[in-house]
This record gives sequence, structure tokens and C-alpha cells, in this order.
Amino acid sequence: MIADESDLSVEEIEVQLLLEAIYQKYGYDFRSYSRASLRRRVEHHVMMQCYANVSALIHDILHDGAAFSNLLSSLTINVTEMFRDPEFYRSFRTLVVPILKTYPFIKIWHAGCSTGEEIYSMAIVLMEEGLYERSQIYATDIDRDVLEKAKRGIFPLAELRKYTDNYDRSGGKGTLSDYYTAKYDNVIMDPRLKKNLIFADHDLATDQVFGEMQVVCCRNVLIYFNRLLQNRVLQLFHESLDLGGILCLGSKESLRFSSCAQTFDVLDTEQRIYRKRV
Amino acid sequence: MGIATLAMLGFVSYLGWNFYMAQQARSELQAIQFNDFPALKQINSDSVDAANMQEILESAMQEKDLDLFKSAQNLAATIDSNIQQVARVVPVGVKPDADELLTDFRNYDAAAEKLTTDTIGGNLPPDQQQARLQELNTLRNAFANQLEVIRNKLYGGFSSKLEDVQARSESAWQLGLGLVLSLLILILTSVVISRTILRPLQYAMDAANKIANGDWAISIAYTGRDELGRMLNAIQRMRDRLKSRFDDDRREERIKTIIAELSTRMRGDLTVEELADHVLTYLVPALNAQVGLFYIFRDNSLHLLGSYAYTRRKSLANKFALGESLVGQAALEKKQIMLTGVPDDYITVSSGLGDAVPRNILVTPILHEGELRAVVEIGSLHSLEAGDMEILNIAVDHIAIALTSSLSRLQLGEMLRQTQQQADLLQKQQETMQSINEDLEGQAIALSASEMKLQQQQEELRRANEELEEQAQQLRASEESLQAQQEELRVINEELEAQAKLLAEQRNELLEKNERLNDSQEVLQEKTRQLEMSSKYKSEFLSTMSHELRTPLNSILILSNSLADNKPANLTEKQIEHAKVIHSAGADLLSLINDILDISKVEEGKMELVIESLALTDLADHLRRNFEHVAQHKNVEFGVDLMPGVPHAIFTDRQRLEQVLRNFFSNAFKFTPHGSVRLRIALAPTDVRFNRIQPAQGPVLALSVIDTGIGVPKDKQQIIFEAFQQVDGTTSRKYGGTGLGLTISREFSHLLGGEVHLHSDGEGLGSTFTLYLPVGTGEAAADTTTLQHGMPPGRDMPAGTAPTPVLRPQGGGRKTLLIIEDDNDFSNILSELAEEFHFRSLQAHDGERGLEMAKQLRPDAVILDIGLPGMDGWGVLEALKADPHTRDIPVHCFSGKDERAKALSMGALAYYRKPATPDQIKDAFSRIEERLARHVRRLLVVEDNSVQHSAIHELFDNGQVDVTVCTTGQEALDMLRRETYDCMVLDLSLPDIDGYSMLEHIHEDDAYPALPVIVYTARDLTREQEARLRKYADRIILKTDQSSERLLSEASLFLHWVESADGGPGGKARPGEINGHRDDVFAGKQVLLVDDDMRNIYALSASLEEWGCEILLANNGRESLEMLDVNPDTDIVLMDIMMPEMDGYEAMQKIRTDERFKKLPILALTAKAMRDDRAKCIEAGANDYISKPVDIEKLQSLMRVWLQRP
Repeated sequence: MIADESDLSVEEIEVQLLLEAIYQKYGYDFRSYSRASLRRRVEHHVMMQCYANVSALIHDILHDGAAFSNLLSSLTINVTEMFRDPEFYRSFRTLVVPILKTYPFIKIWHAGCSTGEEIYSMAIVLMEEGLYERSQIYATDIDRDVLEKAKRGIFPLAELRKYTDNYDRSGGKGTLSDYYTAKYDNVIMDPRLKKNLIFADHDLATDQVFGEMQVVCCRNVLIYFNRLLQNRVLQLFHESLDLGGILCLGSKESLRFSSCAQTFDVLDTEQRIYRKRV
Repeated sequence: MGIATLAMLGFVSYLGWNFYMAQQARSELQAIQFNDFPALKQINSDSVDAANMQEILESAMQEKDLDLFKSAQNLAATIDSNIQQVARVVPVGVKPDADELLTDFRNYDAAAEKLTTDTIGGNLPPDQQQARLQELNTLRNAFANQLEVIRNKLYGGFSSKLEDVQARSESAWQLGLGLVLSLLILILTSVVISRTILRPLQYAMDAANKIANGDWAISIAYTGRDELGRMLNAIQRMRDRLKSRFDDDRREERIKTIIAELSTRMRGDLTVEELADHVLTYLVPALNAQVGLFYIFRDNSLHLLGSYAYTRRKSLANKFALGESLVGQAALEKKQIMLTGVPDDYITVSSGLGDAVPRNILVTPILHEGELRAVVEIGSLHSLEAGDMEILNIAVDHIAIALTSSLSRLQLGEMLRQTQQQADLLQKQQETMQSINEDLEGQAIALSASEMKLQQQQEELRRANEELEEQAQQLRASEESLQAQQEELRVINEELEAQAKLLAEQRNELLEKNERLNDSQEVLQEKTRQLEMSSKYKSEFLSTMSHELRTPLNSILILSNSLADNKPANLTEKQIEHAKVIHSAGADLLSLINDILDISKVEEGKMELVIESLALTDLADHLRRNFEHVAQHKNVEFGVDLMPGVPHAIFTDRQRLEQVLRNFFSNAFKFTPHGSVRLRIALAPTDVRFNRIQPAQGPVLALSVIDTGIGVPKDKQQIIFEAFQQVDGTTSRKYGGTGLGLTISREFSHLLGGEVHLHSDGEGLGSTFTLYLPVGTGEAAADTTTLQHGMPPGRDMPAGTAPTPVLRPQGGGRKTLLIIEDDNDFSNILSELAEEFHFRSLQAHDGERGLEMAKQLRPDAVILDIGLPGMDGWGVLEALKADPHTRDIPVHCFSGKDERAKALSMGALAYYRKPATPDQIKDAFSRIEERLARHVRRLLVVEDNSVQHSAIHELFDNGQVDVTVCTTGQEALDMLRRETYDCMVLDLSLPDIDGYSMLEHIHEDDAYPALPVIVYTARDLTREQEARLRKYADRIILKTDQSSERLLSEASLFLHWVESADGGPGGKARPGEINGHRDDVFAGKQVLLVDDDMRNIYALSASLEEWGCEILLANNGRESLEMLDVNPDTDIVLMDIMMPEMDGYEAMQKIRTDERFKKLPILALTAKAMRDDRAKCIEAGANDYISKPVDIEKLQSLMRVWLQRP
């Protein structure tokens, strides 16, 4: 069913207006995100924050930056864990690391890093493979609060058991506890891991390429975009990558139906690791 | 039998009654025996006794014999008691009489006794005698009568009782007789009855029992027509009825069982074939048949579906139409058909042993709700009984139902399969539809997006149009005003021409003047150059001289001192005296050299000042301590007065100030033979006229040394400040001194921003030397931080200065963190960390202060170092927890001191200038020992001048230390590798290796053990050199930042925990700070653009300005360094690589060597495409690169990344 303009319900109009308002006022472009899931999240936020309706929310965010921060956190999905999908990391070690070892300098861009667990996971992998010193990892996300948390590198102790399990299954060479200090129900990652990490605010919908990367990692972010935005982002990644650079996607994502499918070779279908054609 | 029992019972009761009677009789007899009879006896004896008594009394009366009387009394008593006994024993009816008897007796006895007594006693008048006697008689008679009465009564009772007994026994006997008789009669009757009645009854009972047990067959013979016969008859009928019932039940049961079993066999999801099989398999044997067939009605005909013990024969068909054969017929008629008398070749029932023809064939149709479903044919060797038929009929119904269900199930299964197929088909179609949908949706969205874009553009165009129109109007207006201005301009032009001519003439004059000026300037420059050179020579000369002079002086002083000590005690008094003189001469020489050096430095302007906060109380104490004993020695009064109103501290160079004051003091003591010398510190009075101090400099302190000495004559007051001048040329001979002191003091006072005034009333009237100093402000205190590590001697931090808490007010609403840590550097690091967590931080450097602050300010969290000076961390913690105000504040403790004490011992560094006094050395050692926590035993001294070796040995050897001396750096390194030393003394100017390099070498190479070092050199270290040494020490401590890192990690976790304590995990307590547009990240940021190509600069700066950045420009590497130096708070640098003079690589490298810019983001703009060149950029120090030609959008994104890092 094609949504005819006149058939748009009031709710749909409100959501559209909200996204416009956000873009105009704050520069974050959510207009091309998958509308259905966005709408759900907006409605959920409206309910949780006890707004009368979406229009009340629009009013609030236009006048109050703190309200927008709250909304931003609701809109961005922050589900992540260390060594998420351990098989992916295992495959990364086996297939990608040997390629990286040939570069004198490695730049890795992790788009949509959320609270940073996967960044530190990558850092640990690099450190164990002896690549950390010549690497630079750019961790970007649209939400600054979440970036703050990622910068601190503090995670709740309760999750560590699962993370350790993931780490073991991903082919870790030591033990996860070598990389953190625990106290007060939390753990803080080893400062050595933070040395070559750069955290920055970057919006995949509006911003451009900012450097030449050897690896681009964007896992479980594209599923929240609509087709158009997905293509744009993939194009962005394609431009950012060096010749022969590596692109890693999430387990539910695929290059297959996108516009740049022909420009990548497949290194690992199941784990969604691709290499840019030379 | 009941009768017998009854009889028994009767008999027993009779016995009982009899017994009872006998008992009664017995008791009566007993009563008689024990009561009546003894009573009677007693009565009789009493009567006799009474008569006796009477006699005795009479005799007694007559003979007047008391003894007789007494015996009479006794007898009376006996009688009395007897009567009482009688009264007790008699039957109830007689008791009152007995009582009366007693009364009578007592009356009588009393009277009798009285009479007797009276008579015997002679109290009885004779006339009364008779009366009394009469009386007595009456009484006696009464008694006797009563006695008689009782007796009679008793007798009566006695005899009546006997009669009773007799009567009783008689009646008992009669009764017994009667009973026996009746008993006999009863027995007789019962025997008769039983004979006639009981036996047949028994018989009947037996029969009934047998019937009950199931023995139906017994015969019941009844003999007569009487009741008994009739009863037997009834029983027989009952038996017959029961039997037939029982048979019926059994039959029904069988039917039910068979049907039930059949139903069970037909249960479950059976196919029709299975059903047919089960039915036949069960039913045929159940009916005692031998053969069976099952036909199912399908497609309008009957098909053989199942069989039981059936041998197929070719000629017989398996399929029948309706009406065909018996089977078809039964099916058609829907009725059962029974065939009996089956012919011999019809069908045989066969088994392995033989065969036979069935006797009965039964064909039964199976109908369900009137519809034919199947037909069953059964063959049996024997006739089928009605019961079997019945079974069959019922079974058929059940079979019909089961069959129908089975068929329905089949149908259902079929339909289900079909439905599923359709469903699958449908799903596939749906999916296809969905994907088509999505595509369509996508296209729709694209369409609407482009539509909106079009609309927007239209709007913009319209707006632009309007603007253009406005601008056109404005242009027209300005054109008009332009024309008017043009007119005016023409007029002005003419005026200007006239002026121009005038100016040209003046210019020529100026040119000539300029020429002349240039010439003189050149002359001046030449002179300046010469001057500079000569002063350079002078300072070089001075520093070399100082070194050269000091070195031998060192030997002189130390060795002479050692001689003067005379430890081996082998010198004469005179020799010791000589040694002392040598020492003092050397000391004088040394102080002269120092003074000269100081003066020359001041004159060169090379005197460096270190401005810091100085507490006046400390200064006063220090001076007091230093000069007390001198005063005592000279017998002069001495005191230091701090006047009220002076500030707590002033900002000045402590060393120089003390030098001035010391100079004043030494003069004062020198020239005051007796009296007093006082130092008075007060605020300068407002009426003092200053020559150099400006009022704008703020409040002024006056430090006055007042003595009661020889004073200074007025005409000499000026010249004494001149170099080498003293009041009197002979002063030096009398009082000593070089005459340089006051000069130096004056110069120093000027350097400190103050001045010196002298006041003396004249010769012999004492003098007052006052140093005026502006109090100063904290701005110049910026230097203090470099000197916190208290290195050179005489410069130790005044002990006990309470450091002021460093408060960083950062705006309300944030949590506060109190840091209690004595190491200033680490405390600052923690403070920065707290800043990252949005805490406001307060610092305290010792336990007491920290406790005070905690109590006053109630921070939200505390980080506490256990190793504190004074009150240690545990004490603080205890105190915090004991106080209810601070008890709940979360405290994070760490004991970094353990690890850093070691670190400190590794980097403990002290610096002494030659020559050092033994006290200074001792002090250094004790400090080192304190840190090492053990004694310095083995010492390695590195000193190139061999002449110094013996002096050094002297100096450092205190008997406990083993001193090894080497002369070159290499030798020292070798020794260190080979042996362990507790401490090393190092001269910085070694022939082979420079001292700094040695230090670095030692500490970086793990082959050398951790070592405290005393730097001992003749040179004056410049501030830079000192800073380098100190930085070096810092680096050593920083090297053990490995351990500090762990401390910081833990502190971070603590702060994170406190921060999130009331805001939920992850600290949502901090409200989001998005207040503006994302692009605001650029606003106000300072960008340094370095490129030699102006076009590039122009292009980039236009965009950068548009985003809100402030631009700084540089054309090459060198300029970029200068720009950074001038603008150290630049936020980011965009550096081109290919530039003249100094290229990008070099510039970046140089920038990175500067501490201030270690973290400055630098983006390289490189035109080179090769991968290695890019790596080179990174290596040179760039954080990132972007290639030329620069894509502006890309640059924006990249800058956004790098500008966000804190």
C-alpha cells in the first residue's frame, strides 16, 4: 500500500513534523530512518514521559535542550555487549587480521558505537594480535551522552560473566579480566586500551566521509534505516574505505540488495565481512 | 436355649435372694449377739452393782467409813461407764431410754454420795436424814424402774428379732421349693417344642444357606402342609426365582463384556481395514463361531475388506452388488439373514487337523443411522443361540458407529491435506505481495521526498526574488547620494592638491633628517654591540672565575675544618688555632667571592628572582633562631617584633629578602657593642616619601633593623651604600667586612621592587636600616609551582605552613569531591579526573585539614590517601566515620604511598652547591635515609677533580659510610653495574658524560638499581637547568605511573559509582546538554592555518569563518611555531606539508616536543597520494590527514571529530 498524502493519519503527520523539527533545530537527520520502528519508539517515549501527544513533544524539544537529549536517548537503540556475536570476532581474527598486519598504519572506523563495549572488544583483539600500537580506532555515534559513557569505559559488573563467556568463544588469547579493574559493582577498562581510541559525534544521515579507513565496522545500525538511507550510508562507507579495505556489518544485515553490492567481495557470508574490490 | 438361660437366670436370682435373706438373718442374729445380749447382760450386772453400791453406801453411812465410801464411788464410776457403754450398744429404739437411765443413775448417785458425805461428815441434821433418805429411795426406784424398762425392752427386741429370722427362713425355703418345681415344668415343655419345631426350622435354615452359597441344586423336601411346609415351599420358590435371575444376569453380562471388548478393540484411529480385522478377530470367537467375513459398502457395492479363518476360493466373488447373493440381499433389505442347515460343500471350517461344514451362516448388515455401511457374514459349526444373535445385533450398532467414524476420519484427513496445501500456496503469494509492497512503498517515499524538495526550492526562489527587488531599490537610492558626494569630492580634491605641494617640501626636509638619524643609529648600534660583547665576556669570566675559585676553596675549607676538629687528637693547640684561622680566612674569601658575584649579577640584570608567598611569622621565627645565639654571644639584647596590622604573608623572593636582612643584622651586631638589636616588621606609615615605590603598587611593608650602636654620621650616610665603601677606611680593619654588603642590599631591594632607608641621628646614637617592600599580589606567584620540590638548601619550605585549600568554584548543582592527598601533583591529577566526572573538587594536603574541610563543607564523596604526613589516612577515616555529620559520605581509600614511596626513593634528588657544610650533607643523608628507611652505608662519589677526592672523603665519611670515589662517568656506570650502592653523589661536569645524560641513563636502564642521587656541583644552575633536573625527577616518579594508573582507575570507578548513586546507572543524573545545533561545535574555536599558498588559505578560511571559527594564519613551519607560542590556546592546527623554510613534518615534530601542545589536534593537508607518505604524517605527529584538493565537507566532518575531544 503506497501511503497517499491524504491518507496519512494524524499520528504519521506528527511524527513527520517531529523529525523535521529535530533536523531544523539540532541538525540530526532522522527523516530517513525506518519509519515504522521510529514511530513505535516515539510513541513509547510519549507514553513514558507522559506527553499528551506527539505535538506536545515537538513543542518541548524545540524549547528545551534537555527534553531533546531525553528524546535522543529514546530514539537511538543502545543494545550492545562486549564481543557481541563471538563468531564474528573469531572470523575477524582469522580472516581480517592477517590482511591488517601488512599495513604500516591502521585506521578503523566503528560507526554507531553506542556505549562502547564493541569498541573495547576491538581494541582488545588488536592488542592481542599486536596491532594496537599502529592502529587508530574512531568510534562515532550520534548520541553524545552515550559517547561520554563509552569514553569512560565503565560497565556494570553484573554483565561481566556474559562478556567473559563471549570473549572466550571469540578466540580470546588470554582472559578478559586482564583488561579491566573491578570495584564498586562496576569495572573500568584498562587505560592502555583507551590510548588509541577517538570518540566523536558523527551523524550517518548528514555527515560526510572524514578520513581514509582500512576497516569500517557498522553492526546492527543499518537495520534501523530505510532503504534510501542505507544506500547512502553504504556509499559513504565505500568512499571511506581504502582499496582492499574491509567492511563489517551486523548479522542481520546484508549487502546483497544494496546499490553497492557489486563493488565488494565477500570474505565471510555468515559473519557479513566484505572487502572492497580493488 | 433361651429358655434354659431364662431358667438359669431365675435360679440364680433365686439364689441371690436366698442369700440375701440369709444375710439379713445373720445380721440380725449378730445384732442380737453383740448388742442386745451384752446390753442385757450389762443391765443385769448394773442392777446388781447398783444394789451393791447401795449396800456399801449404807454401810459407809452407818460406819462413817470413808474407805467404803471411796469404794462405793469407784463402783458408781464403773456403773456409770457401763451404762454409757450400754447406751452405745443398744438399738436405736432403746437409746433414749438408756440415756434416761444414765441420767437417773447419775441423779441417784449424786444424791447418794451427797447424803453419804454429809452423813459421814456429820453435816446432816437428823431431821433431814429421813427426808433425804426418802429422796434417795425415790431416785433409786426411778433408776430401778428405768432399768427394768430397758431390760424389758431389750428382751422384747430380742425375741422379736428371733421371730423375724425364723419367718424369713421359712419363706425362703418355700420359695425355693416353688422355683424348682416350675423349672422342671419349663424344661419339659422346651424339649417337646424343640422336637416338633426346631428341627424342621434347622432344616430350612440349612437350605437357605446352601442357596445363598450358590448351590441351587439342593432339594427341598417338605413333609407336611403345616406352616413349616409352607415355609419350605416358599424357600423353594425363592430358590428357583433366584436361579433364573442369576442366569439372566450372567447372559447379559456376557453380552456386555463382549460388546465392551469389541468397542475397545475398535477404539483408536483405525483404518477401515484394521477395523474389519479387529471386529472379526474378536467377534467370531466370542460368538463361538468359526468363520467370518467383513464386507464394506463402497461405491454402491460391497467389497470384501477382512476375513477370519477364511480360505479364498477362486469361484467365489469378493465383490457383491446390492441384491447379489445373500450378502447383497441382506444389504439391500437391511435385515439379518440366517441360514441353517448349510449344505456340505458350502464352506468348510478347516484347521490343520481337519475340516467341517458350518451349521449356521449368519449375514448381518451394519447400518448407521439407517445407512448401510457394511455387511458381516459369520459361519458357525453349532447353532447360534439367541444370546449370540443378540450379541451380534448389538455389536453391529457399535461397529457401525466405529466404521462411520473411521470413514469420517479418512475424509477429514483428506480435507486437512488439501487445506494445508492451499494455505502454503496462500502464504507464498502473500510473501510475494509483501516484497512488491515494500518496493512500491520505497518508490512512493522517494517520490514524496523529491516533491517536497521541489516545493522548497520554489519557496527559496521566491524569497530570493523579493530580496533582489529590495536591493535594486536600495541601489537606486545610493546612486543618487553618490552623485552628490562626487561634487563634494571635486572641491576637496582641489584643496588637497594645494596641501600636497606643501607636504612635498616638508618631506624633503624630513628625508635629510632621517639620513642623519640613521648615521647616528648605526654608531649607537655599534657601541651597543661592543657593550654586549664586553658584558658577555664579563659574565663568562665571572662564572668561570667562581667555579675556579670555589673549587680550591672547597678543599681549603673542608680540610681546614677537619684539622680544626682534630679527631685523631694529634695536634697542638697552636696548630688547631692555625687551622681555625685558615678556615675563617677561607670563609671570608668565599663570602667575598659570593658577594662579588651577586653584585655583578645584579648589575647585569641576570639576577633571577623567585617570587612566592612568604608567611611573615615564619620569617620572624627563622631570623630569630638564626641570630639569637649571636646576640647572646655578643651580650646584646635581641628581638623580633611583628606589629599588628601586617598581612599574613607577602609575595617576594625569600632568599634575597633574607640576605638583605641578614646583612642589616650582621652590620647591626658588628657595630653595636652593647645595647639591643631589634627587627620591627610593620606596615609602612603613610607619610613616608618613596623614591621608587609607586602608590599604585599597593600596601608597603617596612622591615626595620634598629640598633643602639655606633650610628652613622650624617655626611657618610650616602656613601656607605657605594661599593667597597665603609664609613671609615679603617672600619674593615676594626670591624671586618668587605664593604659590599650594603651595596648588595640596596641592589636587591630595588630588584624586589622596594627601597632601603637609613635613619641615624648621628655618631653613637644608634641606627635604623629599613627595607620597604610592596606586599605584592599573587600574580607573580605563578612561578611558585616550579619550586615546590624544595631543592636547594636554605630554601626549605617553612614547616607547618597550612596550605590553603585549592577551591575551584565551577558553578552550582554539581557534586563535590574532597581529595586528601599530600602529593600535589597526584592531587591535581585526581582533581582533573573529578572534572571529567563533573565533580567540583577540593584538595587538602594533610589529614587534619582534610578532616576540617570534610566537616565544614560536607562533600559528596572523599578520596583519601592512606599515607599522609601527621595524622595518617586511617586516623582520618576513623574520625570521619565517628562523626555523624560525615559518617555517610562515601570514602575511597588508596595507599599509593607504598608504591610511590619506592618511586620517591628511586628518584630522590637533592642538589647542593659547593662548598657544602657538613651539616648540609648530614641533612641530605638523613632525608635520603628517611625515604630509604635504612642507613646509607655505601656511597659512590663521582668527581673529576682528583684534588677534591680527599676533601670529599673527609666530607662524606662519618665512620659509618663506605665511600668509593671515581673520576669519570663511565667508571661510575661500571661500578654501579658491579656493586650495589645506597646513594650516589654526582658532579654534573664530568669529562666524559654530561651529568644529566648519566642520570637519565641510570634510571632508564634497568641494569642499574634504583638509586637516590645527590647532585653536587660547583656551577650555579640556571633556572632552566634546575627545572630540567626537577623535571627529570618528576619523570622518574611519572614512570611509576603504572601504579598511579591503577589508582586512577579505581578512583574513576569510585566517582562513577557516587555519580550514579542517585541517578541510576550510567549517571543519567547529568541532564543532557544539547542546547544548540550540532554545528555549534565550531563556534569560537581557534584554528591555525599553515600554508604557503595564499589561495588555499583564502578558500579554507572562508569556509572556516562561515562555520564560526576564528582563524590564525602562518605561511610556513617557523611562523606556525611562533603563532602557537603567542596563542597557546589554539584548538586545532591545519598544517600543509610542502612549505619553504620549514616543512610540515618538521613543524609538527617541533610542536610535539612542546609540553603544551602534546595533545593539540593537528590535521595534515597532504597532496601526496602514497600510503607511506601518509604514514609519515602520522609519525611526524599529525593526528590525522586529509588530502588535497580539500573536500570542504570532508574537512568539516573530520574537524568535527577532532574538535570534540576534550
